[in-house]
Amino acid sequence: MKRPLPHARFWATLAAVLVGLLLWEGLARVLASPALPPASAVARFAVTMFQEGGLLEDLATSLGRVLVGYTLAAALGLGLGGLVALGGTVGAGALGAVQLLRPIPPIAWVPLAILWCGLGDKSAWFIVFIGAFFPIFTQVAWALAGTPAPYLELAQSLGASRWLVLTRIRFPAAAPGILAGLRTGLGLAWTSVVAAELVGAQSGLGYRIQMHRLVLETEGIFVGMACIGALGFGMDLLARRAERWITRGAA
Amino acid sequence: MIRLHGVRFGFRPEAALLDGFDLDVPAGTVTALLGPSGSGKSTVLRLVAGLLTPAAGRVDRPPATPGRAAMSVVFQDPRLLPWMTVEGNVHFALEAAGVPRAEWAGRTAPLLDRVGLSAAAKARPGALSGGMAQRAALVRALALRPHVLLLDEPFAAVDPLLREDLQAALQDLLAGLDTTVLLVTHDIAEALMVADRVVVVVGRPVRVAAALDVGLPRPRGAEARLSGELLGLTRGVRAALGS
Repeated sequence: MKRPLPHARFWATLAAVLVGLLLWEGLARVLASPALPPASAVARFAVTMFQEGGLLEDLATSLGRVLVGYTLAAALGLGLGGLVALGGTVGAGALGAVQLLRPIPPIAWVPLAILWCGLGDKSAWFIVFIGAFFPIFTQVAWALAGTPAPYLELAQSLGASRWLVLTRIRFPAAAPGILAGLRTGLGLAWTSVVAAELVGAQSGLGYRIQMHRLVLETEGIFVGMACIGALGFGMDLLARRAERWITRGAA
Repeated sequence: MIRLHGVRFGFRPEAALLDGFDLDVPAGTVTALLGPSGSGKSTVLRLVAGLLTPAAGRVDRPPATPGRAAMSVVFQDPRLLPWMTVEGNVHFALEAAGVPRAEWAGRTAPLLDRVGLSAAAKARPGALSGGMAQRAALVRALALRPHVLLLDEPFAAVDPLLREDLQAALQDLLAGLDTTVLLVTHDIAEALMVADRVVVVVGRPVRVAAALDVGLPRPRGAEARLSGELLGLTRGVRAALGS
């Protein structure tokens, strides 16, 4: 089912963005400080960065790291979350124990990641994994354990086997929760890769904006941040589309 | 037949919902268990269904035989799985009961046709009205060709006019079957329209206040609703409920 963005909202958003850019431009020109370049200068700088290359490489590096860390987190989150949900009291205990690690933000794991994996890809994978794993694992476990009781009673009255209950009732009933977990995980994976690259890597978008700070190219920081924002937005949009497509039809 | 003998059920023994409860439902008859809300009639049904286990006493019902399930249940809510089509929901029940896949279509299509749901076979439950969904739930229960059909206030959630339609559909579906039916309801008219025998239960622990035979042939049409027999029986049921 396709639902176009209401036109009024679209134009209002566009207008707000333009006003924001104009305010930024005006403020930057008044202040005339190297710490806040005007929007037009950032746009010109972006063109140069694209022409010189390097930006796209960093972008690809960051995306690749997200892909590796996120895939691992999704696979383990789904597997372990499923085990915990169906594992009775032992599972509930394991879920409770893992919950104690959840409040530790991914960035707080960076020192350990560097200590264990050194600077570079492995460290970034680890941080991305940490960022994405906990929401996926928790959501999967909750969703699978939270099958509505009436459906289970129906299955019992029909004499359905455990396998049938798992594959035809528990899993589809949990699908929206699982997909929401996967989407939350993807957002956090992207946040985490930037955090990891700011200190724990020598390539990628996070590393690039850090470098621009060191050489005082403030425009470069803005371009890098804009790329990070645009990619995060795009990924979330794709994830939402996929989610809607998968759950289409089911009420 | 269904037989409950000396059944006790309750989470705390001193406040048992059922204690020494007896009930016989003769084979092939429709028995309505009628009582006020919260009187424990749904508990009786769940005990017969095997969804609850009695603390004491016996619950006997016929076992499954080849091609026929021991029992099936229609709940107050249609309880269709929203991620399957109407037809898929019936097929799922047949699969759960171990009916060979080759028989699924042959069992499902004629029943859907009889309740006027052929066109909705491929629809998702979310697209159905309340009445249509409950018809689909009836089809799912009867496709199993159960020895015992348990109906737990199946039409309580639909509006009164639709309820009469559904009662007619149920009577039509049951015509010619040897299925033993236990209908739990708090609707006097429904019990008298559908059942051969009405068992009135009251109190806690639940006791049988009266058992009345409805001497009219089934299926009963709209004219039966206004017949002298039914009006007389209604008075009898009201008196038993007040006792």
